[in-house]
Amino acid sequence: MFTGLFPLIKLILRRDRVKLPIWIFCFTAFLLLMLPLLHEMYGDAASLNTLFETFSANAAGIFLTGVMDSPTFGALMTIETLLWWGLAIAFLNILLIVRHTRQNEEMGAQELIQSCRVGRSTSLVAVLIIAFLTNLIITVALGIGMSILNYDSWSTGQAWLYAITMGLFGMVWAAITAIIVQLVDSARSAVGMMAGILGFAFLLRGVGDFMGSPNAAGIIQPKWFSNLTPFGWAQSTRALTHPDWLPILIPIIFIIVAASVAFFLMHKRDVGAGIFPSRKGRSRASHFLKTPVGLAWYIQKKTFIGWFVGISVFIAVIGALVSEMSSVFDANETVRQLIESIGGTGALIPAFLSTMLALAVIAVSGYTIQGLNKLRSEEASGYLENVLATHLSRIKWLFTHVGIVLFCGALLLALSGAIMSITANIGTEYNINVLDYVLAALSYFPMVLVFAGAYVLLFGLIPRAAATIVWVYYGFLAFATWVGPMIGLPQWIMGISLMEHFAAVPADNLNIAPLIVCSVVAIAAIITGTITWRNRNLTTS
Amino acid sequence: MCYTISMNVIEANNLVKKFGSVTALNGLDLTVHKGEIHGFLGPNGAGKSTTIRILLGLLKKTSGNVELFNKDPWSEPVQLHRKLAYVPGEVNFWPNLTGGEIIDILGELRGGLHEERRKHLIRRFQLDPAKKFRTYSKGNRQKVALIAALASEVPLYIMDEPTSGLDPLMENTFQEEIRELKKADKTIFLSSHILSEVEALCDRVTIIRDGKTAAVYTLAELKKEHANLKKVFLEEYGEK
Repeated sequence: MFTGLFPLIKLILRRDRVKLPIWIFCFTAFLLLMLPLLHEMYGDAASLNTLFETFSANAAGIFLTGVMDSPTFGALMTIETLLWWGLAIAFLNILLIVRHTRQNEEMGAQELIQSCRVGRSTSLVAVLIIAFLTNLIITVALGIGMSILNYDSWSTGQAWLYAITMGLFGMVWAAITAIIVQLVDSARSAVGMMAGILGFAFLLRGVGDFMGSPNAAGIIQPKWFSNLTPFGWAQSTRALTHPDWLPILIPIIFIIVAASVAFFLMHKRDVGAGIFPSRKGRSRASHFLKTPVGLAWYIQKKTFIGWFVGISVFIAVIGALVSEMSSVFDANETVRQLIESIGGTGALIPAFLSTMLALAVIAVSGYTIQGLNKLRSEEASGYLENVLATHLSRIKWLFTHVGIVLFCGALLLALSGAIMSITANIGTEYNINVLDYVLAALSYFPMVLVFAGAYVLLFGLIPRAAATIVWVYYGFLAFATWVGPMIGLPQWIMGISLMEHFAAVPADNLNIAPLIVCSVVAIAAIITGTITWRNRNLTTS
Repeated sequence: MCYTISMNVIEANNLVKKFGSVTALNGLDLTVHKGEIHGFLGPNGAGKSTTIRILLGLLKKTSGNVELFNKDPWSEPVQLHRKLAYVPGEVNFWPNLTGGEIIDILGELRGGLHEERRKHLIRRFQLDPAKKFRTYSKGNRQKVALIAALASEVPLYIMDEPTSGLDPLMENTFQEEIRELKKADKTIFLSSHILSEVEALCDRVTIIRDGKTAAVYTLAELKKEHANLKKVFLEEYGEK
């Protein structure tokens, strides 16, 4: 099992010598940056108290951030960072493991490696060691950082508990991924499945936290099923508030068990295959598949279905939470007064849903980018070469894909609005106008169009960098929308994010101007991108 | 300048292609007559695939002249592609589609498959069309690309190392099918490293080296002046 271990470890480090350090640095730096930023805005006792009251009342917020245990800076830091950075470190580990296991096999590299003096499971050992070291480095960096920048809100021991919680959380996801890559038959399926598991775990924890009730000390305890998820385990150490070291045993045991299962499965399968055998297919292509639209749809199908399921489930749960919210408001006198002062529940629900709609729009934009990235992946993989050698023109091919993605994007927007309002109506006395929400969602289409335009433009000009650039801007936009107001990002930075310029419909009134500007710019970008695409060489990676 | 419509299916004069500072083609001359099987040989990295990609309109030439059926392949690819079928050097197809589906898709995008020929070719090349592409061995992947091209009814076939990976029996089958095509007055542009295959099939041969045309032979010339193609290749283009 250990033959050839060091060369393999060196290989992984060499391949990721730029990527890993950047990820580790960004992750740690941004997290530690939250400390001064949050403290600046809300560090004083008065603000913390107000926040505590608001968060305890806003059950739906708990769904997304977890419980704020106490009016302390530690509690605030936890709800702002634990889950979100948790997602980030989960992705870091997932992508790392898939890259050096499944993806290796797909590239054929695994065959070559395995034919050398290397044990059967050595590559898995190697990548798990790298994951462990990565998580360890992050833990140490966080531990040191949070001990220094503690604003007298927590002890050094607590800082290290937080860091270790985060590191273990990452390792848990590495272990789960190690199992999944043994079961599925492609790297893409592995990442897709992990995203689904991650989403499900987050959702389960969210519902559990949301439905929690206060214990004797008045601290809200999540319902038991929260603790079935790695997110729940991470939260239960309550590092920065009421530290409890015992819960770290759960992830540790889980990691050991999961890793063992992964090795067991690895010994049972061939290199390049999954445990589930591949099935045969059809010997003739259907009529639809033979058309340019049919072929493009085949290529786009999986991406759309994945996002469709994810967004639908997420939105349905949000809508369902609305009915729960009213009972919380009735129970708490202070909260009821607070709410009545801002216009009553009549104003609160639309405001809340409009914010959630904005999140749905961000999700749909993510789908748009991933769908359009098929343009590049078809080109880079060499599949496009065969297609362009037929009498399908470049422009028709491009427009077919862009058309499908934009149509599906609009569909997802409309669906988000519809599902959200319908589920909010069920079981409550609210009678939200579904059409209002569908139209409100569709009014965000110009934003989706802008992402499409940006991608197509870059695809024509600098195809290799297109995905990276657009995703980075997307990440910024998501971050600014979600965390921006909380940490008081200056207005000029917020202004770079498109979302700032869109009104939060339907609660606010629609602002036509940004819609027109965005549409015009996006269409111009698409046209320019198409022209440059027509005039450039076809390049594989 | 004299304007003539040539009987040449493919014509290239002083074709140059640069990628930044790297010169892939440095003044290539190429002429392929209608109805002939034309071989295209050269050392690895000489520019064969680059030439083919330019003919397919996938790459834009830097300078020089290139025409397919008297048209510019870069500015009129759609019409030209109705008249040709392409077998790629590296066969990359969507991994979860079956061989049969891929053949059908490419056939339809080329303007139609000949049903009888499709059946005939699948049988002759012994391909199982219901298997997913990624489960095929290397040779069988090659067959998918071959059958997809040979099943179309077009005047020109451009083939880039089409038989690499095929066993001797399939190589034989390939040669027979190509001879059938020639009888039907089709033109075939064949890039290959398999010298015996080139000798057995081709009427004329262009040899490319360092991005330039090094020599053009008819097979008759070749047989008269040199013992065989291998000797020519190794002597002239081997290490001095």
